Amino acid sequence: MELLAFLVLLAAVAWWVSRPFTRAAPVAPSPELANLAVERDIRVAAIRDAELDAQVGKISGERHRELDAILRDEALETMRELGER
Amino acid sequence: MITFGRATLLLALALTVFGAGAFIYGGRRERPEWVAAGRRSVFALFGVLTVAMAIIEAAFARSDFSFALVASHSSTTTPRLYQLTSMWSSQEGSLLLWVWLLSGWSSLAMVVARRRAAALMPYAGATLLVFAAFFLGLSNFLANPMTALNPAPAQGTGLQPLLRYPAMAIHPPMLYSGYTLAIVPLAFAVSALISGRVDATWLRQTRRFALGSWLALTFGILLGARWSWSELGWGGYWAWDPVENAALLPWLTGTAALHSLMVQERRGTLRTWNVFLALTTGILAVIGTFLVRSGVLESIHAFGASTLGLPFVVFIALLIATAAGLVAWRREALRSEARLDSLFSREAVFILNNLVLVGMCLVIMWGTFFPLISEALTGKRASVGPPWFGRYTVPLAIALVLLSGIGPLLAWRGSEWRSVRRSFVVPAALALATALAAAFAPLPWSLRAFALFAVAAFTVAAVGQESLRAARARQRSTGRALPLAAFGLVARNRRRYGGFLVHAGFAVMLVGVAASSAFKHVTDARLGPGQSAKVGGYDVRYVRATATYNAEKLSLGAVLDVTRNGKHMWTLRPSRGYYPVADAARFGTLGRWFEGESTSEVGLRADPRRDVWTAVEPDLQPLQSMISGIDKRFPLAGPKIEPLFLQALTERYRLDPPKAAFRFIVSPMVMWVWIGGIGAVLGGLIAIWPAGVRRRVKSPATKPARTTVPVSA
Repeated sequence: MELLAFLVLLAAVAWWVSRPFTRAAPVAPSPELANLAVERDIRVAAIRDAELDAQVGKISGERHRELDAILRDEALETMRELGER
Repeated sequence: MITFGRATLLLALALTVFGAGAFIYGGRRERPEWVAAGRRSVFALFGVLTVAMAIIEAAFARSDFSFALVASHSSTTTPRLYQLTSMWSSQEGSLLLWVWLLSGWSSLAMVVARRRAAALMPYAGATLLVFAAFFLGLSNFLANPMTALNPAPAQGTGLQPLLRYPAMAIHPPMLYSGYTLAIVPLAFAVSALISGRVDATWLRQTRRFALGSWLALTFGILLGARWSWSELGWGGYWAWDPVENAALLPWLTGTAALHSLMVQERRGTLRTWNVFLALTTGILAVIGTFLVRSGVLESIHAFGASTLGLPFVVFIALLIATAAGLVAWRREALRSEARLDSLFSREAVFILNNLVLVGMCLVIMWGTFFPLISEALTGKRASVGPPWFGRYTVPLAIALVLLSGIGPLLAWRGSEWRSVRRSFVVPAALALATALAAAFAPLPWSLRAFALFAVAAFTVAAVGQESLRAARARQRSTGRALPLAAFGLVARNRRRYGGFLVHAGFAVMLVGVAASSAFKHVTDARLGPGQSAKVGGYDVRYVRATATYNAEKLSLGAVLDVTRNGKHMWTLRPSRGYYPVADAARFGTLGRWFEGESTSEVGLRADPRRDVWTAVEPDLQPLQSMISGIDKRFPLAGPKIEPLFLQALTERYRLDPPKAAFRFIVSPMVMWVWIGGIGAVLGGLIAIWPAGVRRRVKSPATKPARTTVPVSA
């Protein structure tokens, strides 16, 4: 009984692990694209943070405008690169 | 089922070897089908180990003593909850738990990495499987949980009594979750180094795992401290025990990493430092497991001093050498060009906080390993105690709490002097007021405690002020009521406000630690019924003795009346539980009840102002003649007669109790340790909670990039 149970488990594991060899493997997204997506998320989060900092008075309106322009440029640049790919 | 169980462990080990090989081959030769097979090996490993766990749990549930593990760690009289959790009180069971948790987190990491960090998956997966292979090697060849006993005994030894406490049922899985979750960032850091992709991708993909590790360690450490306070009879919640420290070390470096990775994300700096922290935290997690399982250092937790020391030392040495080699190899790629814009910036405070956290880690590591260091240098084993740890860690803790208040007041890339001044006024005034109030309060002088109160007030005020300001700003922009605006604010900025709550909780917790350490009153007394002792302004009178028994244990205790200025306050009932050994033929019918483990059941009265803690150690000497007399006349009384003798013994103790040794402690604000800790855990949960599906930005593989910046506060 124990032997049978183990053989069933072994067969299931062998089938599961070997499946990629019997069918076409899915194409992984390009690493550069994935990096850009990460960059984009980070830039967007930075813009949101700066906006929040301005709203609570941690940075002045003038400083926020200056910072926001830099951060938005960086974010747009990342998004353009993403779009091009 | 034992044979099947052994086969599953061998299959699991084979999967780790195949999977690691498939990952490395697939990664090097760019063969996606091999990488996919490696990835599937990770999932299969989790499945196979879940089967192994189920086999063992089922054996515990049905008290199958043909499993040596069950016979040595459970019994039919062990309560059901503890039967099911006995597994991780053992060497063999806890190693299996470790690798099972690792396989679960590894599977999750593979799911997460597939889309966003596919390039890192091969070497990260291989690294995770190497860790799993090491622990499965131990499980298969040195500490196999599927060892058979033939013939099976009729009764098991039972769970160690000290561990029969609800928090201890989940304390080990929490700590092991913390340890194993810390391996995921390590694996991705290794992969980033091998593949040369040391940008922020690996950080971003493992951030939640690092936070999960921190959360599990925080909760696990808290549960352990609570257990120590409520269950152990020494009267404290933190003893700087090596195993306690072992959990604290990766917590400290993990906390540092959670802050420094934000700096790399935002400013592109600290690349080497973040890799160092991820590798160090993972290695410290293995060292933590090594300390608790090897028994190399004396500890109240050393439940299983064993022969696992050498394999662990070799593995840890290999880890350190590999990590150092990889960092040295990629030192050029790790170099960051960005510089700090301002000292009045959040990133500057994060860097300072990292230095303090790593400084604390080094101090605690030195103190923890001092017995081994001193033995190696002088041939004599010496150790350092709580005062030594306190001398160095308290000033660092004060600095840390202060920095955790300053950080939220500053903006990324620098704050203007005017806004800094405005933000600091209220917290600084409150800190000063707190320090003055503490100095003029009728308390013994304690500079360190007062300083901690002041910086904690600063931090709580800073966090409260910043949260309120932001909620008001959102109220203005949305027109919603303040509570709704605050809720919306937290929901949209979980990481920031979850972090703020962690800071406040941490500050509150350290206030509790400072007050309960500096202003504690302890009295040890030997009392008979009717006698009293004084402690911290209270009179504690020993009213009468108590004595009960059941199949699990014999309890001898006391009823204590606590009064203040003649007014009754509380009744407390401390006791000591004696757990029998099975061998009545050797130790006697009654003697066997006093040959096993004994534990303290603390009599505790807790409120936000103070805890009144009592423990009793009954004097068994006067009972000895009765015990030995009965054992001599009725050497094998059997289960039907034994209760009569126990009845007689407990009756005798109740009616004619000898003097007992008591420890009484009045410790202020202990409850704030738990309240602050729970606040920190809640903050961690808020920060780790995933963003809603609607708000989640889809990956580029499924959705074209947007060309406008989608922002609204």
